[in-house]
Amino acid sequence: MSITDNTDFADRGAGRSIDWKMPVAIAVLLGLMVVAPFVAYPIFVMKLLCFALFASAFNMLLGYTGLLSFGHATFFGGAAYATAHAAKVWGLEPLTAILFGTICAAAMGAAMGIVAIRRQGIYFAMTTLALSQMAYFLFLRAPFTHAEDGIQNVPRGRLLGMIDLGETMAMYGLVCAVFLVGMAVIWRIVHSPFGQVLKAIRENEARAISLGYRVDRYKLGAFVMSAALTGLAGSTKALVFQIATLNDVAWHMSGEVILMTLLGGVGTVLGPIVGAGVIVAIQNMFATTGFPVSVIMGAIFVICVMLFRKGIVGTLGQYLRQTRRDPGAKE
Amino acid sequence: MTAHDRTLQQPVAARAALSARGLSKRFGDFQAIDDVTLEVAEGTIHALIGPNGAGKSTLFGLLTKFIPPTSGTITLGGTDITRFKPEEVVRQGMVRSFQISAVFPHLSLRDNVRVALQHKHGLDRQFWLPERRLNALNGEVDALLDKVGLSDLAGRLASEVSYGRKRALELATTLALDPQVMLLDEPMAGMASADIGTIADLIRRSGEGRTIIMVEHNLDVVEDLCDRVTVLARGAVLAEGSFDEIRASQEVRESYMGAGHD
Repeated sequence: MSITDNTDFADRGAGRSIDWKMPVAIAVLLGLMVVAPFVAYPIFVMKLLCFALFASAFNMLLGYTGLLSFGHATFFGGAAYATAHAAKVWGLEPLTAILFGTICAAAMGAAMGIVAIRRQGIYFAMTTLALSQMAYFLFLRAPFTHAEDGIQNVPRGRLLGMIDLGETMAMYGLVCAVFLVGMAVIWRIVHSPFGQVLKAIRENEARAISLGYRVDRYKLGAFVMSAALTGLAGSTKALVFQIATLNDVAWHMSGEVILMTLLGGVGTVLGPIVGAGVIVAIQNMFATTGFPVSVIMGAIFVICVMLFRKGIVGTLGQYLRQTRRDPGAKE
Repeated sequence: MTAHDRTLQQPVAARAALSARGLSKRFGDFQAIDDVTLEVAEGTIHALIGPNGAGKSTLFGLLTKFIPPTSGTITLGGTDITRFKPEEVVRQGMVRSFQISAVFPHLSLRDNVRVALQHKHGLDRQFWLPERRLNALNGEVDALLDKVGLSDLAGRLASEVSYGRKRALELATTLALDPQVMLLDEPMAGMASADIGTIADLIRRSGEGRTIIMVEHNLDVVEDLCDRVTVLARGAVLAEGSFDEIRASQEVRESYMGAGHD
């Protein structure tokens, strides 16, 4: 009946076992972020961080509210356009441009959410898909997006008028900061009184209503927050690559973020980060070989659904919990 | 909005916690509920019985506004709630449970009850506060879990406990809202006989000062618990009275007691 049916493949308990490992995970993550630009190509790491934030923002909706949105590309790519336009045409300071993109994404999220939230389950997903297709054509036709060309040569500018983001490591520092702030915000929302109500709605919407909750308001709130954080990721990506294109608003992008989230582990904090890492790495590896990446993506998706439905982090978490519990108590 | 207006617009309804007049529901060609009039006196336990498909759960859905009625009016404690949304009905003091155990499976028992309390304490919209602020509710949560005998399982996930305990948990979350009127849809269905006694006891104790309407197939439980019985058949009221009156009725015997129950 309820939307939770859609996310039965999710392991909602998986996050629990990770909770106490959080400090370790954060330390490892920070360590990796410091080392990464010296080991890998910095642009690649920045791309990875943007997609990790994107997938995490998406997971807030799918994993913690039980809403499957098929329209998140609109917020990702839409924010990229807004930021690119603000930085290039209006010459806004980069942080302000990112903020502008984020606010635009939140506004688009509110518009899409108000319409889509009235529908449940698969109809919600279809409504978001339809609306994002409409948005795609608006972006295609709008004069400021320059259609197939996109907005190119977006200046990274000087952060707060001082730090030149043309310097790769300066840009990398900003991306890291945006990523950490974004993740902290997601963490706070998910583990807040509001987040508890979201989980209750995910688990059993009818029961949440019968406890007196106006579930539509909570869902809309979560939708707008997820859209805004997605926009934060998209805005940052636009500055990293200095370009905003139709690619980021196309439905492929909505599909890709679903794949990242499912592969990493829906409803877990670290899952989307891991999933985004794997997908972006694979894309990069095969980009130069000429081998069709979509074939590999499809294969991964099939394997993921058939063998480890809880995703990499979800399955790992379950395994760790079992090995810890086995020697001790039996129900 | 007259949601909180508790003045007695209808003096007649003052003693009735809940009343429905001429309530009907059509699904296409199917008349699920046909002109049902029901009066539930304050502070009583009222049973709703009838064969499968009689429309008991549909009637619950109508009374709590989960299903919009085709016609008729519903009055709760003197307030006309016919046009209310389901969550407004809850805020007006009438809470339902579901036939299929309605818990939040991947939340702990403690979190299940706590979610029910969050709204009352104004701790349901704060996305900027840490979860540990909710620990302020734990005293109340533990008292409720204790009431239904689940305190030692507070940290377990609801999906991990037995069916009987899920039903007890559901009762605890319903009680968390401190409703004036509780609608319990087959609270004993699928339970072991040992658990039935416990839950019956619980309903009796928690029912003090409240009005309860329950769908129940176990007639021993109905006899034991309920002050008044309404028999529903094919969407209409077949009979209403005390348990003994209902048992004596030839009509009811034929349609229900003789047939389905042993």
